[in-house]
Amino acid sequence: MKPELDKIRTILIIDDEPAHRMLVKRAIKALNSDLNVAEAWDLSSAKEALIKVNPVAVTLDLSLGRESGFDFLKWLRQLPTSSSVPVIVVTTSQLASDMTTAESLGADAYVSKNSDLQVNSELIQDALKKLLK
Amino acid sequence: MKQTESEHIPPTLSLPNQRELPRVQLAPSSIVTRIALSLTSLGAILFLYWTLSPHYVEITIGLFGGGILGALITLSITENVIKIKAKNLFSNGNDRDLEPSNREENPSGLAVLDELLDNYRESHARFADTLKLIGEEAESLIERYEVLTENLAAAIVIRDEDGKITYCSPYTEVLTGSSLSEIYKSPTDFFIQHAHEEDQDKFKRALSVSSLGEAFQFRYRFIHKTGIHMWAEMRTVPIFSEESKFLGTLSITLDITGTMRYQQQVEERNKDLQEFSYMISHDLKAPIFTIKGMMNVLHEDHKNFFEGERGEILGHIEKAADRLSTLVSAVLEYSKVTTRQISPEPVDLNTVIKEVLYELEPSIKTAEADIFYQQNLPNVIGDKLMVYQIISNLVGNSVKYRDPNRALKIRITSEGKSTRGFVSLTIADSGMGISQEKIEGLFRPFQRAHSGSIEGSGIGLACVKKLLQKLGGSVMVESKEGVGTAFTIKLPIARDIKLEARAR
Repeated sequence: MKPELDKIRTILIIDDEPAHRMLVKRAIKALNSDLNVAEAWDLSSAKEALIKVNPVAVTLDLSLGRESGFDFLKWLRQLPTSSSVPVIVVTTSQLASDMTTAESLGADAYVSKNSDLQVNSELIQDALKKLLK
Repeated sequence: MKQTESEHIPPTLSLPNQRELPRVQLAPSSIVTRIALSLTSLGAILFLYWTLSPHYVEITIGLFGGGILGALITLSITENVIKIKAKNLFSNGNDRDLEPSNREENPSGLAVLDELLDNYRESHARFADTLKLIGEEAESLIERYEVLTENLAAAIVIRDEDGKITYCSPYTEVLTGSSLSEIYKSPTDFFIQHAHEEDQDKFKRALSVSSLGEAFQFRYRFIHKTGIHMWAEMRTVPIFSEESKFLGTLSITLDITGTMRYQQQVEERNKDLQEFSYMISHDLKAPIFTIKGMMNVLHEDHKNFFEGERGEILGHIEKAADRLSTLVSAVLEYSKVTTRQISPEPVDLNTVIKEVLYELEPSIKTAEADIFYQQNLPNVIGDKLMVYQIISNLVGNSVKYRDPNRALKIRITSEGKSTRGFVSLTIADSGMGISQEKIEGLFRPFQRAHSGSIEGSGIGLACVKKLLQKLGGSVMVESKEGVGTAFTIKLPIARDIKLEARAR
């Protein structure tokens, strides 16, 4: 499975749960159907996709199976080419400590996956709107 | 004869020579007084030394022996004085001894004297017996003291005014793993030397504080001779002479390694609990999010899929997912309450109540509730968010469990400013009420008084109780089915307000 490639206004969705990727993708498409999405499910596929598609924004789940989304965020911020790419953390974690860690590592927005899907999609869309001016 | 010493002269005794006899008569009673006085002071000295400085047994025994000796000397002197006086009185200038054959010449006087002397000898013998008993008691006390210091699982260490160790109880060897001679010979203070690096300064401070006349208690880490790191708790008190001269310090050190290990285990268990709640927040929430998300997609993209029986089945799945979601949130909330640290601060109850009512305004309006709340409530000590959670939960319950057949009234009142340092706040409603058998388990997690009909996680009141426990308060409930429920919470009153009130 290779990450989808698209050179024009692509958003990279990183989540180990296919259903969650689908939901984020739907939220993005509902906001602007012209936006392309690329998907990744672990650290290596995420790194590969980032370099190939050069996304305008990234949505990042914090738990990627046994790997941590934080590691991807650290790696991303060290790269000169992508150090300023907007990152929206989308997670089921409700721990305040995760939020502060994400912020300190340079995440631009933090959306909690709560059970109210309507609100959830809107939050992702709002964050994208702000970050993609 | 079990008479007490002060009564040993029979009151009916008739005395023939009123002019001379009173001197003789007085002598034994003054001896008795002296005996009594010696005994009392002896007792007092013994008691004082025993209670004030139990570790100065040697001094106690010395004084004690001195006291006994003094009392004996006094006694034998006074006995001789009586003899001489009596002789002079009854011999009428002749050199006759007080022998039985001569007594008949002055029978009444001699009989009296005889009786007096008998009484006196008897009390003397009793006194000697008592002293012997006290001596034995003292010996057994020394024995007990030795048994205690030698077998007590605590190191007793005495330092002189210069901080030099002058005494260590045998247990010190067990505690430190070093022999007593090693401890005495150590060029610097053995205990400071073997304390953990980070605790050495604290140790020195403790000793200097106690040399200023203050008792001091603290915990420190030390290294056992075997190299094992251990925990000790030391209490140090200053020792002063009667003239308030500083003589040194006395320390009692206990091995608390076991306790500290247990505490660490508890902390680790708390950490486990936090990790568990993290697991719940992450791993359990993710699949629920998936189920609900996919149901949502079906609703949006495949509306006709929900027709007929299929729709009903999917409806059940959705409801179950909702319920699961509520429960997971509840577990998470409860574990957060359990592990959350508090930072106590004065909390204004008036503000909290207003904020709660503002927050609940929509549901209060729907319920058409009539709400009364008391003004000018005092500040309590607590954590604002926790106090908010408590009151919000209780008022929320009043609104939620209203009786649809009656108008809802909610009263938030306080009995008074303080009952023993607490503020009590009662939230009473005219709602459904709770049956007697449900009241018992009301504050347990996932126990619900009205399950089924009304949505709820069953965690609210469990959290209320837990929160109040954390804040040092309490909660009580009174309820009658079909009449209403009243929750009374107690929270510690904020002290500054109390002082203000006094100043006024």
